[in-house]
Amino acid sequence: MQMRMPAKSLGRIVLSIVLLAAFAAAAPLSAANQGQVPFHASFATIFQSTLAFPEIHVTVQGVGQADHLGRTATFSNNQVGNLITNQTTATYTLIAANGDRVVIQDATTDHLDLGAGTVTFVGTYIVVGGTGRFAGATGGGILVGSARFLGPGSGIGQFTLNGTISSPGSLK
Amino acid sequence: MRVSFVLVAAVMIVSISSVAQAQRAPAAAAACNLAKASGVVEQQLMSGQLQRSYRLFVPPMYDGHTAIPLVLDMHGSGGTSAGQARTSGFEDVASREGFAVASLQADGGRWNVPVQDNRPDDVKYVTDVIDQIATLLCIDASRIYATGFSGGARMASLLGCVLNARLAAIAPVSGLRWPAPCGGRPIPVLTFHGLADPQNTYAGHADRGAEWVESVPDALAGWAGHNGCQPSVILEDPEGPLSTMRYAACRDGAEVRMIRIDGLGHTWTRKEVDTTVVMWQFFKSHSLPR
Repeated sequence: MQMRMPAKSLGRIVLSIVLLAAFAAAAPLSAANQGQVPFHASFATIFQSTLAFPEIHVTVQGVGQADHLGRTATFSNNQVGNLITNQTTATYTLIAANGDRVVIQDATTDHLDLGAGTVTFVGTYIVVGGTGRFAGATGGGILVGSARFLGPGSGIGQFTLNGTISSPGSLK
Repeated sequence: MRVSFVLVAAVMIVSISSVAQAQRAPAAAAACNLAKASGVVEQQLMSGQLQRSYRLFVPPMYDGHTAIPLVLDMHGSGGTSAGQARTSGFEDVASREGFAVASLQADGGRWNVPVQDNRPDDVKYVTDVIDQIATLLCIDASRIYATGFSGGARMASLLGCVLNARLAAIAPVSGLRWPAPCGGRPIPVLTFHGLADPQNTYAGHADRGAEWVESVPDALAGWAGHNGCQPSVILEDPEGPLSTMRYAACRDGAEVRMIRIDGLGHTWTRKEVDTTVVMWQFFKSHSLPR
């Protein structure tokens, strides 16, 4: 009764680590060369989920702080996770107090622990646009977070963004 | 390669005898008042004039009034109910998610499948277990599910065929079979199978007796036919150790799906994919029509 780590899986993990490290190392250079500036944000969230095996569809609302935006609200209404592959994609909109928006798309790998009722996730995001000072914004980085189910289809969570974004106002 | 004529005949016999007594549609939900302490207890019952037992887990959140789902978990050949409870970890998931788990115990450690007349009637045993639990707990009769590993998977396959009026879905692990002919309603099927399984080989055994000849894809195709799915199989094989083989457009939403795991042997894995967690997500997305 032996299990083993398949070569494909091991290779994928190694590749992911290398890519994340490369991305982190390249980010400052990229920021300097292409008008990118550091970008960090953190949010507390609530979510509602609907199961359509093997997918879980999630809507998320949150509030937090983000560089260049200040106090920020966020939402996603298209988050889809695959319970077999543990891969999730979503589009999040970040809304500054003055109404300016940043839109990001993320792809994460999730670990669901039903015994504890928790899910943790890590992945990457890219900035795909925005409004106001962030019209045409670009950038990207790493997304890390967790969530806890408080009921069959709802709960609370948090996530952080660490990366870069095009200098606010530079692309208007 | 399909299941042998001998197996077909045997299943027909047990189907005729068991279906009549076992295929009762779930009773309409009624007020329930059956208080029971949470935790694990070894239950005894008489079934077919034999003393039988099973391990019953009641989740902490059970309140004695609200009907909860029930998962029937069956060990592999030579195994025990306690061993299967450890292997699957279903009691941990049930504790969080609020369902009961009955880890069943085969007579002599081996399920009577393919059915032999000189061995205990395990379909009746399972039916008797469900009926007994319904006197002990408020069970949601539309959300009773069956799973099992290896020999337990073959038993779960048989139950999906002859007990599908009472089971909302089945999920055999490392041992899916198509015990044709199979009557009754379409029943959702999810199976997990390691592509390096040397015991229940993915492609079937040609030289190990009739019950071993059938390949897992052939068994899956049998269920797809029963469930009225479109005949063409869909293979999704992304990067990584997991791939999915499934059939679409099945009647009454009775999906038929296999999760294949590269390099995995004869194992209930919680590593490459958390079999127990994914299975429960599958189960809870299905219930019997009321």
